[in-house]
Amino acid sequence: MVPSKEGAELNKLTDEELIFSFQDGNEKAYTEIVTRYKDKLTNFVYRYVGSYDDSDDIVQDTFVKVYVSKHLYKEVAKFSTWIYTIAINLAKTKISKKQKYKTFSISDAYEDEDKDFDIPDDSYTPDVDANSKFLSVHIQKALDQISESYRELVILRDIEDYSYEEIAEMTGLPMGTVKSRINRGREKLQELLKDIYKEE
Amino acid sequence: MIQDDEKYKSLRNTLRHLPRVKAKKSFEARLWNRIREAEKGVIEPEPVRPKLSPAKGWLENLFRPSFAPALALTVVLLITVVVYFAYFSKIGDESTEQSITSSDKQGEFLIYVKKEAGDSFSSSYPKEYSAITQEETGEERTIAPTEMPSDFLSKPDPTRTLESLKPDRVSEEQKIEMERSVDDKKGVDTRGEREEDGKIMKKESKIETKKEGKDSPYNIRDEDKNINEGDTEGYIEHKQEAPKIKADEKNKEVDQTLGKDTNRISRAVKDSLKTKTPKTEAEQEDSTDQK
Repeated sequence: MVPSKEGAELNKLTDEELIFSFQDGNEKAYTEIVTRYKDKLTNFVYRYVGSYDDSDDIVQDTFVKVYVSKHLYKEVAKFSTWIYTIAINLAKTKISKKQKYKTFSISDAYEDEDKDFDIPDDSYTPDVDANSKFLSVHIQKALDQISESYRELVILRDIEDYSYEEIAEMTGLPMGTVKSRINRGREKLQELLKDIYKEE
Repeated sequence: MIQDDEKYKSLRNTLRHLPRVKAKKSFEARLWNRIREAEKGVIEPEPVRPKLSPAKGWLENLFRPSFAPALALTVVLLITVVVYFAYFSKIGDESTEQSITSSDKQGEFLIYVKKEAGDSFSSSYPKEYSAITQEETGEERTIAPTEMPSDFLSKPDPTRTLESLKPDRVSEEQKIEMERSVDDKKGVDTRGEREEDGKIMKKESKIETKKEGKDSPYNIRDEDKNINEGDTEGYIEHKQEAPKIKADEKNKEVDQTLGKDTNRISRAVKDSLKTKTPKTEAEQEDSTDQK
């Protein structure tokens, strides 16, 4: 599919310019935003929630919210900060709802076998080999074990590679709290991943 | 900040090089479907409650179905409390009224109304029981209008007559006292004589016990304890004779001392000397010595 002339122009625009264009009624600007952020958000939400299906739902909701509430964005913060904030809030809501209505999971019963019964979509093909897949699963389990407040910040800093300032802006926490929580999260994560580091 | 990042460098590298998860292929198509549905209103958005006034909203919250049992319990409790205070407090008032009315008969029940909060404890305490006088405290004590002495409501015992009492249970002394009280009403004051006699008897008995002991002629008190109605006159007469005997003895002594001069002193003077009091006799002696 060859990108159109208009699409090529949109590629050059910044995130903020795209959203303003969308606010003016250009739906293609919105499509460009979705294209840019769908994988990023899916990866981030997946690492935070730990479930691919849930992360897909959350990201979809995030984009719907952006579409519906486009007029709420103002050039006070970066667009990425705004959209990540929406995703984080929706993910937190989803987690709290899950904890409220906790149900028995089949995967918990077969934990020894280290198998997950979350059947991924056929289209889901992470570009990784078997070894990296195993490592990914192991790290994901370690991430799931640390506290939510630490997990969120560690993912944003070390996986999504956002700066401390941006993280503070996204989460609404003071800078000192962000730093201390990231360090504690790393400490705990390192303890949980001791075996991997020995091998290395 | 940078130091912390370097400290966990290996961990950060591991996390950064984690396989990135991609969105599903049908992601955009599904997203547009959802957006269209949202625009059409097929997917019902969360019902937006119309903004009510704060009071109305509060009432709605209060009377929601989940609060029904709690509300019912509260109503029942309120009714119970109201009934309790409306009904049982009246009973309490009646009982206090009864106690006050009964106090008129008994003369024992007292009500002391405490004065205002600023007053000292002593001011609310009954005056008659207070050991501190007004001079000691220096405060002027005002009696509360409702304050009254403890014997205010008391009534004197009804006069008992001999007829009203059973003869078996009345001792002789009680009988005498009752008769005397009856005499008081008639106008004959026998109590005064009795008191004087008592005083004399007490004084004399003390003197006699010191001087003469058991053989004293006035030591007849024990015998006269159970005096009958008829014996009281004799007893009084007997008491009156005692000073006469004493006077006779003194006259004899005077006769002995003045035995030499009896010839010279006339009979009339002699008689006058005999009837004089001991005080005048002593004066006479002094005067004769001077002569």
